[in-house]
Amino acid sequence: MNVSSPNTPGLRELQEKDALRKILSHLQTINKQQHHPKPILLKIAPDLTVSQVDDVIDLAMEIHLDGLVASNTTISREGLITTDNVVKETGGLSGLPVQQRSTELVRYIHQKTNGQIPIIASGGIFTAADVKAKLDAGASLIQVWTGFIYEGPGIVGKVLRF
Amino acid sequence: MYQLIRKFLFNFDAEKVHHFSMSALKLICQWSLTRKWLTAWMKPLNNKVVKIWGIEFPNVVGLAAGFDKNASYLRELQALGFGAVEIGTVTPLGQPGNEKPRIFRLPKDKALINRMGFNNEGVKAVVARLKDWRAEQESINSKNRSQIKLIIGGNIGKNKVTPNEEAWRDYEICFRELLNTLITL
Repeated sequence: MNVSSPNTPGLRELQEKDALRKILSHLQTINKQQHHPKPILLKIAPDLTVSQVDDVIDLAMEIHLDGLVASNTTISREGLITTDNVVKETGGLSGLPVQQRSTELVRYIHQKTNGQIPIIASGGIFTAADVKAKLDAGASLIQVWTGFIYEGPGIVGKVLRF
Repeated sequence: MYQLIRKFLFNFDAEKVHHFSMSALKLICQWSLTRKWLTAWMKPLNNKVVKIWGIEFPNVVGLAAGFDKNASYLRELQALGFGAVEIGTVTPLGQPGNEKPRIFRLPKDKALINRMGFNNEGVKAVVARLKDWRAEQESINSKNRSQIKLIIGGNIGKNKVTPNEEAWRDYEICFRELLNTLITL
């Protein structure tokens, strides 16, 4: 479930605890009525404050969410080397600039939940070392996107060489 | 070699290159001989199965949502060795997303900026494509047991026109539509 894209106006407001509870517990109820329930995961933004992340964690435990995806793109433009106008384009920033923040987020959630909630990590994965960093932080699985564009079609084999 | 290709591709609009590259891959994967060649070439050496939620992932590497929004390139992504693909974001109704250009490269930072805005064909069209995929996989699996399974997840969102107060309904529609089609295969 995606409430963390910065590109649908107001969408990120749904990351607020009560709004989230309403939607997620509704989906959980439907899921439990099925013969073969499917895992439900919530994808979160790297721009959440610590207290917002804590809210997400509390809620995830409360409604027995199957997992979290950390993280989506960031609206921050901090620490970029690029100086031209492209930096001013509206949208979500992905790739190397979100790598560290995403890893920290994974580690924080993993520690806070004692590893009880599986995490899919995404954010700035280009190499096998990057995968290892995410797994070491507590991720169960990883995802690439920007890395696929920069490293090309051989990225899966490349990042698994650890 | 990809570094050279990339240098060339990065001269063009990012979204056009995306479609061009995936179309090229589609062409390669159209014939079983070239598809098998690509699959063998791309096969990761360290494929280690990970079991989670009772699902066996062929390896830990998945493709994040937003790349294959309409489940159009599953065969191609499987050939590239991905263990999983998160399709979408899908919304109840198809929508065009934001005006182009809407994806930008920042090569110095190894980064991208995108404001696609949930452009997708709508959950019904995507589910139809997933059903075709499933049928194709079942026929392949009945012939070849060693076929590696691609795990498919679905990323769901709300339509731009749906107010936040009614967003839960959009999520429900997408969730119900995908529930019986997704995961494993």
